[in-house]
Amino acid sequence: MPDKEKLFEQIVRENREKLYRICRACMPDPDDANDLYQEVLVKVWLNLHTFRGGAKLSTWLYRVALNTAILHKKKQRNHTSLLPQHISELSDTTESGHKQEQEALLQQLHHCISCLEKQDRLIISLVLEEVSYKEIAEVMGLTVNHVGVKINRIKQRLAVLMEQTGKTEVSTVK
Amino acid sequence: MNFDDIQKSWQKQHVPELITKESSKTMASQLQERVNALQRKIILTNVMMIVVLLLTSAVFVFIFREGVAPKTMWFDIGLGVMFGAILLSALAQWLKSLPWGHMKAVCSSSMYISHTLKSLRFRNTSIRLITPLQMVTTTIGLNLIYLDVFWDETWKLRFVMHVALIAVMILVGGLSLYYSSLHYQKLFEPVIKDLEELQNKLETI
Repeated sequence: MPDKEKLFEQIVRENREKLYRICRACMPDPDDANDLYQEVLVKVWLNLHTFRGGAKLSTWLYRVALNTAILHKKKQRNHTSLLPQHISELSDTTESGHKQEQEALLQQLHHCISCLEKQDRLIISLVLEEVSYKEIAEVMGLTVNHVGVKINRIKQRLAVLMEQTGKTEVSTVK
Repeated sequence: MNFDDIQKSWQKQHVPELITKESSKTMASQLQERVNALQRKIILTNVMMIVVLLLTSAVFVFIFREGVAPKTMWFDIGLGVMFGAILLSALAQWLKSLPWGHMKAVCSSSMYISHTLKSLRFRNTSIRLITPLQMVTTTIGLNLIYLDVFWDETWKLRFVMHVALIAVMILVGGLSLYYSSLHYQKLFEPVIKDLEELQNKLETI
């Protein structure tokens, strides 16, 4: 048991940020993302004994996170997404500066990701984490080519959404 | 803004300090402790039940029976019916209320959870079915004993004694079942609910 605890603590220490960001991609609302993150950790702890070392630990972790996210979504159909107005309000009320710009950009990005299809959200979160196409393919159970095509489409869609929300934001401020 | 910039911003985003220890590994281990505590309680209750059964049998057979000196065979039949019912109920409790063969608490094993759930749910079956049946049979046994004890009394007195016995048994039985179900709701149901949730989580991986 102490070995399991040590391993778990090490996994959490090394992967908590990545796991949280994946949860955040799936859940536009930060509170929901926190709930999902906690649930992912519970599942990692409960299923640690099933990790045999055949796959990379990160692949296994992503798979646990994605399975949990899919199930979590089923439970929470009425999620609240951040609308462009909220983004504008947020950027209006905050002081100017690089940090605030960064925060506004992230809010915009979260909103755009929330507009994507469920599977696409999960894929883009892994792409943003710089996970290799091969690993994403393993996690999603798709071929590498299929993942490549999907990623290109998602990136294009995301770029369009970013542009659109950017314009909406500007017009709302005006 | 190109994708690389977006990626950099994404990776720089603030990750709140979340409670990880208490909520994850502990959820299972705390539940494991609760299950262990409940099982210890069940074992203690079962042992107490056997002790009470043996003491009551001894009192009935060696003291009450000697003192009353039975006039008919109904006394012994009544004793047999009453203790037979209690013994069968106690045996069922012993066999079904614990996950024999899966006593080592491992909350990450779905087999352990499944067996534990089955044994804990048995308590509900016991309250709803086994205990009422046992009480009815015990009442019949006691009435047979009364039949013998008041054999030489008037019909009126015998009738009153039987009615009074049934009334007392209904009252005691009703109260006992009521408190047992309260006890079940308070101690068993939360653990069962958490175990069910845990089972669902394990099944989804």
